[in-house]
Amino acid sequence: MTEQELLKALQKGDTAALEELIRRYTAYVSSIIRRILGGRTEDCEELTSEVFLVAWNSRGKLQEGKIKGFLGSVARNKAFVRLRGLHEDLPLEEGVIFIEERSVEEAAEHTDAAILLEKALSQLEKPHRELFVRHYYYGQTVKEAAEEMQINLSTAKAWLCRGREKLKDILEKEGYTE
Amino acid sequence: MKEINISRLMDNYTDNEFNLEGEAGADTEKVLKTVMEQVKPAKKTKVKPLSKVMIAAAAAAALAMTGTVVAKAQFPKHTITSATGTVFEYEQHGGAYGYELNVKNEDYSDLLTLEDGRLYFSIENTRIDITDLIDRQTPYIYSYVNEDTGYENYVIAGGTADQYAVVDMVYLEGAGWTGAGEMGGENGAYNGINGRINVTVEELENNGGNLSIVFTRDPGAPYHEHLNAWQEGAPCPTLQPYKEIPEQWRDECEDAWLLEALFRLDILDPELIF
Repeated sequence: MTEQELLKALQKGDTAALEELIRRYTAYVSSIIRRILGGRTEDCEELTSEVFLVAWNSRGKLQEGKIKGFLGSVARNKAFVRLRGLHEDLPLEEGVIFIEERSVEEAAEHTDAAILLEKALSQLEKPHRELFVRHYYYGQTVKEAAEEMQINLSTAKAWLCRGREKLKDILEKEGYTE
Repeated sequence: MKEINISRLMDNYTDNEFNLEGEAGADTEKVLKTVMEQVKPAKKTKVKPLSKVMIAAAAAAALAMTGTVVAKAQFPKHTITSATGTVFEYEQHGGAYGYELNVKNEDYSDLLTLEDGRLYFSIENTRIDITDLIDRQTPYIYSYVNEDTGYENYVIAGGTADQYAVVDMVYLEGAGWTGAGEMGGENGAYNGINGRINVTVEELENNGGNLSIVFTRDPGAPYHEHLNAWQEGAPCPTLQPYKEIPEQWRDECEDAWLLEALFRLDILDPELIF
């Protein structure tokens, strides 16, 4: 079944398509949750199931070519919400940035976080962007990410620094307000 | 200076580029069992795609004015309520007309709202910002199983902040799909009153079926003014055979998002429209 066929069947409410979705993407979804939550196997299964229920209830807005990304996004966010609920967080490299505050009047028209993130990340070279996403989105440690990308640790840290600077620059320029 | 937590900021991001894989953390069979126990299947399958569909703009205008659509099948009176609260009543009419449809309790004022330039879709205790999920070509589709019929029905939204619209599509057993909706935004209203939308996809045993989509900016306008309203901008499927419209114009039509939804949901087959 192609992704297009799977999507059509899901949007028709075909539960066989949901089964196919689960079989196809459980490994992917649960690997994201596992990476963020560590060894909490029960939590991992529970959240993985919740991700597919969200996908089923949101099947009308799934888009071809973006199913995996959607599942990944829901998985990642559910795992982080669970982690933060336990008052824990992942040890991220320089996990915060500080930006100049601007008044609402000064803020540019588009201060939507998703748009600004897209804008900032699209201005990074692909390897830099990949590293940034691996670390800050998927929660992979800098060391693991550097090893998998076959770069040395100091290079990885320099690339992440560049990514944070770009993000700070865009957020300030566009007057990001939470 | 304001402190921004990058991890929390990334909650707003979706990665469609790298899709990082890793060691699985859950057993597929266990997840399958848990999920399938909680999912209620649709009671019936949806109507099969029409064998033939044709554009009938003039007929659609007449139907929009009278609230009446025709079909050949025989069936008793039905009252169907959609997830938006709109009531679709249809009953056997006799003579040349197969049934009469009355749409009641239409109130779409809270369904799709424009707030500070963002479009919010609210239904059944759910509120979602769909501004970035829709445009002139891309629909947002809300699916639910209609408790009165057991069929999966849809509420479809599309457009932009200047001209947005929502259509409440229900499947009427023996008749086909029908939809009612509202159009808002600066270009979707007339004298401050939101425009109306009527959609019918009829099943006719001998002819295959009819599609009519009517966008009406001025509900009180006489027939010819409805036509004028449709003709603003590029030619649209409501006025001429879909296949004859140059591809670059199809996407410019004000109902392109709605057609896309109907194609995607197999309510219409784009190859069969002539």
